[in-house]
Amino acid sequence: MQKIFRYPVPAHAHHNPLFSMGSLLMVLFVVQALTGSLMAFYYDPSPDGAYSSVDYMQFILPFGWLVRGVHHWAASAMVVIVVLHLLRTYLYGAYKKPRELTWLVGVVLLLITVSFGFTGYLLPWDQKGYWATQVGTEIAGSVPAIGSALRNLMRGGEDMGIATLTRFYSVHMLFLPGAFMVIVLGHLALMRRHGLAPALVRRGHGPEKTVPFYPTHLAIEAGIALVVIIGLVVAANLVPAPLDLRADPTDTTFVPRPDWYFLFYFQLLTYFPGGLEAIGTVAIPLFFFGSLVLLPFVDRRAERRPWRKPITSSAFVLYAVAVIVLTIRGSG
Amino acid sequence: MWKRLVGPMLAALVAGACGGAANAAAPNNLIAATGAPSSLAGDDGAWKDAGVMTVKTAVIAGSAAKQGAEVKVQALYSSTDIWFRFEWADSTQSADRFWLYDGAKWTSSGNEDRLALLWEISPLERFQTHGCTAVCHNPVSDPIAKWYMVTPGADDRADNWQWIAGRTNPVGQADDKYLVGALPDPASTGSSFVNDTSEKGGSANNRTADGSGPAKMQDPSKPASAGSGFLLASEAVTIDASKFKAGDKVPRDLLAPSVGSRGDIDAKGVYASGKWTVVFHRKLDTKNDDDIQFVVGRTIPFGLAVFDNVSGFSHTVAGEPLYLRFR
Repeated sequence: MQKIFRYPVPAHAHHNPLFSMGSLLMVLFVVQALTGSLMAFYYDPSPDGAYSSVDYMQFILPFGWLVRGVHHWAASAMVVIVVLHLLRTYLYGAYKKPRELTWLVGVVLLLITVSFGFTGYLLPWDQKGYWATQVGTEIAGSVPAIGSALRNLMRGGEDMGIATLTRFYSVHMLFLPGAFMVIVLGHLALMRRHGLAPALVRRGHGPEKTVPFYPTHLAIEAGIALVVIIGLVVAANLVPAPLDLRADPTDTTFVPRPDWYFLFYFQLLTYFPGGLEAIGTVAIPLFFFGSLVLLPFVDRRAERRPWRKPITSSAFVLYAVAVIVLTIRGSG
Repeated sequence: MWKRLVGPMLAALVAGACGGAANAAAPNNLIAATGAPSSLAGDDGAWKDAGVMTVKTAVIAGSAAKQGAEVKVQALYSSTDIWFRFEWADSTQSADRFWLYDGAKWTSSGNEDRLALLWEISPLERFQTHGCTAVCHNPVSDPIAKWYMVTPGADDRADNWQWIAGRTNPVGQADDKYLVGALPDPASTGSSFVNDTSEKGGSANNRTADGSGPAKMQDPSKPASAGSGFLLASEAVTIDASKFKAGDKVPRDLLAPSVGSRGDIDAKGVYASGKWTVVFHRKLDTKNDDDIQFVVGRTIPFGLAVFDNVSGFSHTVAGEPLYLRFR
């Protein structure tokens, strides 16, 4: 414990809020675990009861709107923070030797974070969640060779129904939180073993100044976490968590939309209809995640400064612009 | 450089999220604004803050759809109450159900304009996506005389509000009934509409036991406080046939406001310049199990129908589901 409390945090990390995104993610996970557990007291994971139980929590149960609202906004906050965390690591070149494994574990945590969002979206069993999941599992079903098996595994059968809801609930409540906790511990252990990447620009000579993790740096991180939590409560009060109409599997006129962080992918798929579908459903995701996984092994130079890495920096700008433009177009 | 990019990226993501999340007023969304009109006259300034939903109605029967009234709908709500305002064009004001005396006998005649709303009390299968057609029990090919309405499930209930120009408007109410899942009287296609519980009051037919004519008339010693053509039960006396000559009319209904759940909707309709303006008012939560309870924030599907001097099946109805949402 002494080693943890006395960990020397480099000054460049202490003064940059972007270096607190990792700990903020852990705080948000705790917030989600707490609010999710509270909701589990009332949630009914069946097609007949799911909607009514969420409706009860949202509109009848005292402070149910607050718990659900914080859970809703914290989910979006987790996606934003995990992307910021990844971007900071990417731009600072902190994926390079000896931190390759730390980076790879982080990519897995990114996948787990968006999986939380994907599985949680269905649980209210409202029109939005039902039809977005219908589309999402169909996309999985379009993967060549294994698509049908993958779709049936996700749905618990050919069609969406009670088996879909119960396994999405189990994954969301049990599998993903367990995996997240174990993998985060590994991520932290690797981070502590290799330390934070040094500053990109060294000023002066001699070793960089450090501050002890406790209490100095912890105070900063606690302050940031408190501001974010207050922000979540304010957001829940100003913009309640949405609840669409009850899912109607017979309504084929409903136009599904995923949650905002999948909008870019939703829009991307519209450019690959029919026979080109596999490009959007398989090739592009493989390329994207493949590029994240292979990054430490492709960019092996010691140089970490972004302005001295034109290829990786340009790739970052290209990805960012593409995601932003596609998200805006997908929301229209 | 990367720090400068974070701000614009976040702004774009938030803009995208807001754009995606804000399903800005679809045509069949009635957005209730906060506010409270001071009266049910319909011309209160509070209504200018309420958005307008325009609903097209049509007959859903027979070989050709007949277009009906286009109704402009608005809603306001406070912490305890909700108001609805409806406005639609009607070339004639019909609020007359009367007995006509020809010098020898009485014949019944006349009809009235009406506006009806249907709400879920319990979830109705397909209602939120198909509207009122989810409760029409017959295929379109059936003759109209066979048509009836029941809720899709045997134990389901729907709340039915009917503002009736002749029978409820003079007493400042809309009639509050509920729809059940079966016809209690198979011979009566309207029997699936059950009156909400009432402690007293409510309108009654003004007719003799043999149905040949009116049983009551306006008390000559009292002015007709409900207006010409309307007879309040409290002002009615046994009819004196000697007082009538050919061409005289007596209202067919004895009017009295309902007390209890059946009378929990206040309503006032005004006919002017070729249109009706009708305002409904009710508590958000009546605590009656035969009523819909409005919960602020919930999206609530509903159906709407207009009767232009008709009753029964010959009404025009909103073909698509309508949704009440709270701003």
